[in-house]
Amino acid sequence: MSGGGDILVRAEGLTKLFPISRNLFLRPTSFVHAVEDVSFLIKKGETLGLVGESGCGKTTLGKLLVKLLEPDSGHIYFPVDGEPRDVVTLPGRDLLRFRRQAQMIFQDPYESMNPRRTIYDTVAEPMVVQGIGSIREREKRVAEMLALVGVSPPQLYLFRYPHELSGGQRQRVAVARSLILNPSLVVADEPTSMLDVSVRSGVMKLMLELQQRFNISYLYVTHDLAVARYMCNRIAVMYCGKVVEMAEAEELLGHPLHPYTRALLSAAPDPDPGYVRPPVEIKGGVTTPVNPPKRCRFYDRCPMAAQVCEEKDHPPLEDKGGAHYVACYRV
Amino acid sequence: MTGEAVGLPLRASRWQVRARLLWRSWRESWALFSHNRVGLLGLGIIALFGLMALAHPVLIRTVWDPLIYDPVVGYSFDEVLQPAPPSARHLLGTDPLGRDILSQLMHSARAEFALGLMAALVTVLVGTAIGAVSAYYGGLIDALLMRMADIIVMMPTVSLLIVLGVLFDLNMYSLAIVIGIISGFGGTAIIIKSQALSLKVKPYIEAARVAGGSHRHIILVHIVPNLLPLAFLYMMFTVTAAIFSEAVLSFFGILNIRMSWGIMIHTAQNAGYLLGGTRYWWLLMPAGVSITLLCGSFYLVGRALDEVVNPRLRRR
Amino acid sequence: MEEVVLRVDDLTMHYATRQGWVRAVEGVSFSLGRGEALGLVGESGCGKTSVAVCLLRALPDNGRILKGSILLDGTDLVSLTEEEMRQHRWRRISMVFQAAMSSLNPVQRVGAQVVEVIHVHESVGLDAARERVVQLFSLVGLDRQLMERYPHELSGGMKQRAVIAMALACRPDVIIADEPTTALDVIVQHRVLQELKQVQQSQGTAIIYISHDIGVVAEVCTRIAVMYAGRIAEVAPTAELLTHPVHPYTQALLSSFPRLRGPKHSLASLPGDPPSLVAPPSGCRFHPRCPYATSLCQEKDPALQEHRPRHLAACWHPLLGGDEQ
Repeated sequence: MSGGGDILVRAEGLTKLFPISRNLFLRPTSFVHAVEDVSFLIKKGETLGLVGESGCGKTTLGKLLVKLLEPDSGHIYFPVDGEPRDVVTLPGRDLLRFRRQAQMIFQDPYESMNPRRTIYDTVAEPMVVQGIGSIREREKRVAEMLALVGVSPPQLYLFRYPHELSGGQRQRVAVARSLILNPSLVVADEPTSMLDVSVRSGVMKLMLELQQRFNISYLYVTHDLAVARYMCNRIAVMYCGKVVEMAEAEELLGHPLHPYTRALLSAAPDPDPGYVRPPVEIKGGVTTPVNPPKRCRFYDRCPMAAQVCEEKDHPPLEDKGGAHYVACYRV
Repeated sequence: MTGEAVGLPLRASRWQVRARLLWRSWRESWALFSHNRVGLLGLGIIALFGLMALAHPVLIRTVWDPLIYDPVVGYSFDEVLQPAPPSARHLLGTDPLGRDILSQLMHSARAEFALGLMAALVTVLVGTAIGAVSAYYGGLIDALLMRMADIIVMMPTVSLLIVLGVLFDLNMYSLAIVIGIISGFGGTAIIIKSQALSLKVKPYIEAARVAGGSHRHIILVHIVPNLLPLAFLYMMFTVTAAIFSEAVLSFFGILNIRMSWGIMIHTAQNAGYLLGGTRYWWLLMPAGVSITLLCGSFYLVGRALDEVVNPRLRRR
Repeated sequence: MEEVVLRVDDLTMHYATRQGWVRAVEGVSFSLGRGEALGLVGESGCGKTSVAVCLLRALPDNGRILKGSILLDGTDLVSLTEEEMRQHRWRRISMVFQAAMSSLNPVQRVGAQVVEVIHVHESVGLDAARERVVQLFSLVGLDRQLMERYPHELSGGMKQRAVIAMALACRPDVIIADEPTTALDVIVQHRVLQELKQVQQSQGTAIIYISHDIGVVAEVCTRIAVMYAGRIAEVAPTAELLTHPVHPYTQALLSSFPRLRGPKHSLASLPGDPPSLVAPPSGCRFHPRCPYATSLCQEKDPALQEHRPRHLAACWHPLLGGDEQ
């Protein structure tokens, strides 16, 4: 399933805290623990899904990976011009090289394009800021990319504005923009969640097709487990800034071990009349990621919580057999 | 979504395409603007004053004898008593120094336009630059620039201008620059900054950063062009402010300007004619009405533009 | 045959815009049994919300109901004056919208807002109204303490429940729920859906549940109507619609829906995009995207017809499976 075998990205102990209040001396006093001590790796040509509810830190993690945000601690090892480097401490000139290799697709196709720039300007932007190609070459390449993502004939769309395209077309253009520099990693932040069902599957299939063709790795951020099932080789479930379970997609969905994953799975709506869902065993309320206590993040809502869960720190992510990682004392 | 496709023959050069796109966006904006009657009225009045300004040098060269009709050094030898009321020869009469009022009015229109537009241009440059930089970089730069803006907003503009006018030798150009800086660095910068802040968090800015775009690239390509419509709107309001300020300062006689609508009122006032009620109305009314009309019409155009720039104000 | 509480017949509503008339609802007919939960499913811009807007007579200034009737227990809502309609809103027909926050007044306690709805619309004393709100809150699974809170002190799920309690306040015959859980996370959404279902069953309130998500609708509703480009494409009991869709659009919708369980079928996708409602395609509005379209589909608009018992579809080439040979 997980293609290749060569590791592309290795993230170690990534932590990102956002200060939300400061004392008299402007020293931050409380933090949103958006991402805390998260480690994972993505192989070449593989898709890792990042699933969780809103505010669990999945988008923040995605942005850390493409350096839209700087982590407070941790390392991201990624090959820049062939040699693995720690991206976190990359100096300016190498950063530009890194940016060729790691791109991002955003959630909202209406906001991710400058309304005053044509489709050509939008798709060609990475080439322009990286100083690649002459105007003629850029034009040719943009047309190629548009044809590739199914916005065709390209000549008809090159000089249109985003508002003249439908949501599905725009998201295809966004895919074209992210792939124009031949990146090896693309972080896709809920790229299809704002699209209609009949259009959504087209964009999903396109992304899979291009992955096959160019051997791209995706970090696919989504709140929808069913979408993750179709898009991802492996899935990591996040809760409150922590990865609580990570495994091969079918393994995770077929044999969920963490109580949170189980709750997510049984709460997910499914248009299957024959299906009898197991009861959703989870207590109400949402754990806030603001200055959380050291114990397991899921403790307050967990149906299996025991003494050990309260007394010890948040459980480590451990392999429970067959590369199925779970962070829980009770599994 | 006006779905009119741009006809794009493959042979068309990119500049032709760009020009066509620009033309189309102009036409769309005009379509929106032209729905607003008040805005059209404003535009009409502005055009009228524009014609007056353009006609003056032509008239001087053809039908008006400069000896008589020059707005500054002319003298009407036909009239026995100065100021003379309107007559066939002098449609709006003459001033206390025997100069033709209509000629003065038309001559000044040009100066008022120059002043207003130059002040507006400076406002846009200063306001957009300060607003964009302040919003994009944030932190210390932002704090510093915004406190300076606060100070400028706090100061009463007219009094400040009077002080500057007394201390320095202000002519039309320096006045335009001063007014432009005051309004650009003050209110306009603050408003543009808040707009820029909402642009700064748009995903397309993040997309540009992920692509490797520099700060300069992001500010110039993504932030400033999206600020320009708003800046253009405030340009219109600055024109109003500039013309009005000039009138006030000229009335006090502290500008190094030889002729303007403000000077015309100042001249009448100096010779004591404004005390006589409406008897010498032609000394006050033409300049006064012109100031009001031109200020007002730029304001109306601004309001109409607001509707074009601000989709929430649009009626369906 | 069950008793019908709401019957919509040939409803047609257009919006006037700069681009022309937007034909948001065109000849929509359906009926709702007393205590029934009917789902209205469709993609964005298919007119499903416009149907809700018509039912509540909450049309914006540029919207016009051109044709049709909405019979609520025999009263035609279309012909009522605004004043008469006010008598019906909340008491006979009420609504739950997606943005719970905008239905609640931010500066008034949540409980008091529901009390007010009752007090204003029925001749009930404040104490009696309060008593009823306590019951309503427990009905939707909210702690009675929460009545004293302000909206911003409640989580998204709690607010949505408070809005449901408000919709139920005057014991209406029909509740229209327009994407009430779309902004919520899966687990909270699941809870709210359970409450809604429970309320519908225990109170005998009919619900029209509008959503883009056929999975969510299937959870709550016993019958589902699928809308496409301002028209109803297919109506059938939930299980029947999900297993044997007759309209090619419904079929495409279902097979493009990623499933969590069962074998991983390959996802279908439709070519193109939903049509503009300013200039919809001729004939059957689905024909440009339909794999089975013929020249007949281009020319004539199919009417909603019963193809199986209680299973209606508007299609010239219905997918009747084995029956066709």
